[in-house]
Amino acid sequence: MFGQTLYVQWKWNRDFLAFYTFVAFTAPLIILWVALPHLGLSSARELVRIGGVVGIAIAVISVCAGMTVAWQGYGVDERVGHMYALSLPLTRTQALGMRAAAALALLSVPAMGVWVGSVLAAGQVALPASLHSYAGSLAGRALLAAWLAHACIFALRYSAGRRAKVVLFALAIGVGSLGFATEAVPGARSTIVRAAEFLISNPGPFGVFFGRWTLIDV
Amino acid sequence: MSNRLLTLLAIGVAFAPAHAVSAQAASRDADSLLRRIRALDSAVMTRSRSVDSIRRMLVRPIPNVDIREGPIHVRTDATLAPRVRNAVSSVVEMIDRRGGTLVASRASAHVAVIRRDSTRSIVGMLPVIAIDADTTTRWSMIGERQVRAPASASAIANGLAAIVEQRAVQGVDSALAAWIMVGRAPLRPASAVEAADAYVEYATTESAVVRRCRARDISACLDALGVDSAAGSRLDRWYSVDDYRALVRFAAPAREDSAAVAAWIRCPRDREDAACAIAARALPNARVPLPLSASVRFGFLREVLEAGGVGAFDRLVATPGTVRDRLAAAANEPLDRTVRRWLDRLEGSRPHRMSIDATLVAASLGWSALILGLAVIRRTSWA
Repeated sequence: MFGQTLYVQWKWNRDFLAFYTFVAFTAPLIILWVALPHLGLSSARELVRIGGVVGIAIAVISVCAGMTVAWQGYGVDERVGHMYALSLPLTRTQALGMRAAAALALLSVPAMGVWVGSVLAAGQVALPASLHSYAGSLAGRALLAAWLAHACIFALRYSAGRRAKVVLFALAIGVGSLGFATEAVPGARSTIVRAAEFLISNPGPFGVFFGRWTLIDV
Repeated sequence: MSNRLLTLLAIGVAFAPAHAVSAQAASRDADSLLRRIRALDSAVMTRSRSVDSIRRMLVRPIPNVDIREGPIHVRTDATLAPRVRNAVSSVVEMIDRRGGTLVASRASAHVAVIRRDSTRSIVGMLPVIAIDADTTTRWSMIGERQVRAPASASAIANGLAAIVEQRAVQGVDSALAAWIMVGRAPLRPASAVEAADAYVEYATTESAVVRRCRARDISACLDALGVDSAAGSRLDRWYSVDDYRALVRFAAPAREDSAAVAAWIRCPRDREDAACAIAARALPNARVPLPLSASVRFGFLREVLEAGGVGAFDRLVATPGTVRDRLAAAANEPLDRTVRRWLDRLEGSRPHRMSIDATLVAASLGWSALILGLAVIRRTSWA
């Protein structure tokens, strides 16, 4: 049953996955190709900066890949009238669980693209002894970020249904209001800042998004 | 009618209109005077407000709570007093541990004021806790420090300690002040961020002398830190030909030297090594950038003071001679040993920013599973 779900997910998402894998593979190569021979950036400090640009590009690609796979899966359900295989001996929970697991497996494909592209790109650069390339760490972060982004959008779409956009908008307004409140209501500032720091730091839910993303570092 | 009566009548007729005209003129004069008085009143009110404002600025009421511990004397208000007491205690402890008699005497010569204040923000005014270096704010060389309210005792202590650090360097001789560069003494311990930044700079600086320093050439380290000056120009001592391209990104030749400026433009654009060399060689000796920044130098001074313990700063200021002699006297040991320890500490502060530790993996997977689980167990319809 899981194999069938995986196959169906693959059929639905293969175009997007191919696109994101291709972009994730080529982004490090293209950025280093532009920065090194064309812009002439070759000092250690500049290499660290370029590595950061590669890292940010990979972060964006990973999050987009995770969100797209989740959004696409629900989009198919929506188009066919929110039906699932009632004829199969599966509960909704089991079907959704399989679908989520299949999506997580598929998201390892762009992460592989990140790893291969980063290894090839780092191999083209003569790094000073004080610098290191972090292709494996970058790919690992990309995988974790893609899974987390997928989980967030999956939860949003399967919980909120057609109200997903409204919920997303309300969340954006809420976050913006809290940002405004840090200035407008000084008494609440420390609480809001502490909460935000928890959300975006390591044991927090979005720590992987806001950590260090770079291909080349000290 | 007699002539006499006619004459009186004529006089009466002649004066009657004259009286009316005079009354109108008097009324106009009164209006004009009133307007003038009002204008002057308005000016006086405006000026008095300005005078009040200046008076308040010059002679602000001093808060009534007096906190005195060791060399630190602070005035604050009753609401801030408990936190300020804790802050003062930690600053006194810092002075005892890392300062000395000089730091203590300079700190004790002034009365800091800690009070509530406000500052402009993008949405109106924001409450802050202002830390003034002295009661006579206007005459203090050290600017007011502000901590966002509500502030913890450690945040207030940090602001107060920064003022003590600045106060410690005030009045030191120009040679030492020029070497320190940052205008304060490193009495507080380095934060993790400062240590990581120092390592990143040490590891990524394109400079021959820093590379030699990394290879444990102590004299190169001292040269890079500006402690010892070896013979030769700065360019030859600090940078090799391979570093010129990176160097000319930060320094430009004098604009009068058109050939050098043209080479400076060609160096990054055409990646011509010869052009980079021309641009670098055209830099006046004084404009060749220091290989290590003031913050790294500050970190080294911190190492020196830590090595010297209590009284190290006193010895640094009081010892005559070169900067090297003074640092060695402050550290109370041969400077080579201090440099080696500083290098060890610097190497040890390498930040592992890209490592994926187990916590990150567990937290990321756990939160993903939790979010997915919440969606999956929802029992309502798919729509």
